[in-house]
Amino acid sequence: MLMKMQNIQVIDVVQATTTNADAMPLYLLLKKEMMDDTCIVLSFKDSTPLSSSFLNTAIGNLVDDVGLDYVKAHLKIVQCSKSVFDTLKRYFDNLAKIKNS
Amino acid sequence: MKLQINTNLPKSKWVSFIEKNRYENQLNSVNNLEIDFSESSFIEPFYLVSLACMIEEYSINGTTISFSPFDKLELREYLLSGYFLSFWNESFDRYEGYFTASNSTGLRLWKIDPTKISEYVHHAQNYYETRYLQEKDATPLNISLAELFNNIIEHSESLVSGFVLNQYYPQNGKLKIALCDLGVGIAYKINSYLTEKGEAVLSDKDAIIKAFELSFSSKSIPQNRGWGLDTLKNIVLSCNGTLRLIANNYSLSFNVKGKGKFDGFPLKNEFCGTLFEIILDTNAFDTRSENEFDLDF
Repeated sequence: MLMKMQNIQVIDVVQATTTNADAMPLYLLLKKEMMDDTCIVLSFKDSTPLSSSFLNTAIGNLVDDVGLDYVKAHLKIVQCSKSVFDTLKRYFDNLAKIKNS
Repeated sequence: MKLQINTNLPKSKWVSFIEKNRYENQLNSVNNLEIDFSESSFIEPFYLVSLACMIEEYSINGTTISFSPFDKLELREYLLSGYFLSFWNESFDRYEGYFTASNSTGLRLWKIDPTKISEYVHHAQNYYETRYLQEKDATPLNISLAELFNNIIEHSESLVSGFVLNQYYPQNGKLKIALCDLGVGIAYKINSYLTEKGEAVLSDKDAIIKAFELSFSSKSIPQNRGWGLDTLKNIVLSCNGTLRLIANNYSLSFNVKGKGKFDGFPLKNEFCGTLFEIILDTNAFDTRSENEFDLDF
């Protein structure tokens, strides 16, 4: 059975990408969709740079809730600028490193 | 009380000067604090942000602040353009705009406001990209500021929220960030956490180094995961930069030439707070591009 798909553009959900509080609307939306077994296509088009605090809330909390493998299976990250791509790649690489340690 | 400012002091002695002259260390109450720059010729952001923190402590406690006349023209212009000399005037709007009029290479002195940091980091990046960096992507500046601000807000316990200054040097493309708070200091924070957990206390040097360790956090708030300073270190090294950090009894530094190896020395007198000085080489910033990337797992 095919997974449901949902397109989300980050800039439509959050007002900034600097603080934990900035990330909360995104985290809540991602959690709701993922718990419903939806695959999210998350676009970072035109997104501002992502701080570690923002990612801790948006992604880190999600990983705590459902596990890294589940998040990866339900998330497609698209349309990143190079700097956002580098930040996200590093973040997920570090998550995997911590999981395996 | 009159305070003679001498910015020719080495940085380690300067922080001792700041600590010694803090409001809480005065025996009597101080109605007026007069700052005298006549013995200084120039002042770097490192000195200004820590001086601002110290002055603000007095101001918060009801002391009026004034500045003695001085005839060092270049210094006076620099202080005026960053709004330092008017910052403690009653009528001064501290949050109207972020930019200087005449010294456009530097953003004005800014007292950290947790409700405005997202706006500030965005403005800072946009400002330098538009005016000086042409095709360069100033994301490293944005993220460095974000990590520093979040660190202060979440961990410092500073009554004076902290001050920041950014200064660009066009002749060599270096971008300097100086940020100070008068909170408990990183080493104290780490050791308080370790003590709570029943673990052995570290030397200030080792405690500060521990703070840079990926995944180590003093968990000041539940969302903390200990990635902020590791991110900051990664940015500094990838931008051919240097970082100096003074907190409690230690001055720590690292740079790309030393391949990120921690260096430093103990201070003779404790500094109760945390003072960062970061230098990024904008020549090492990526070029802005419209290319888009997808992250495959």
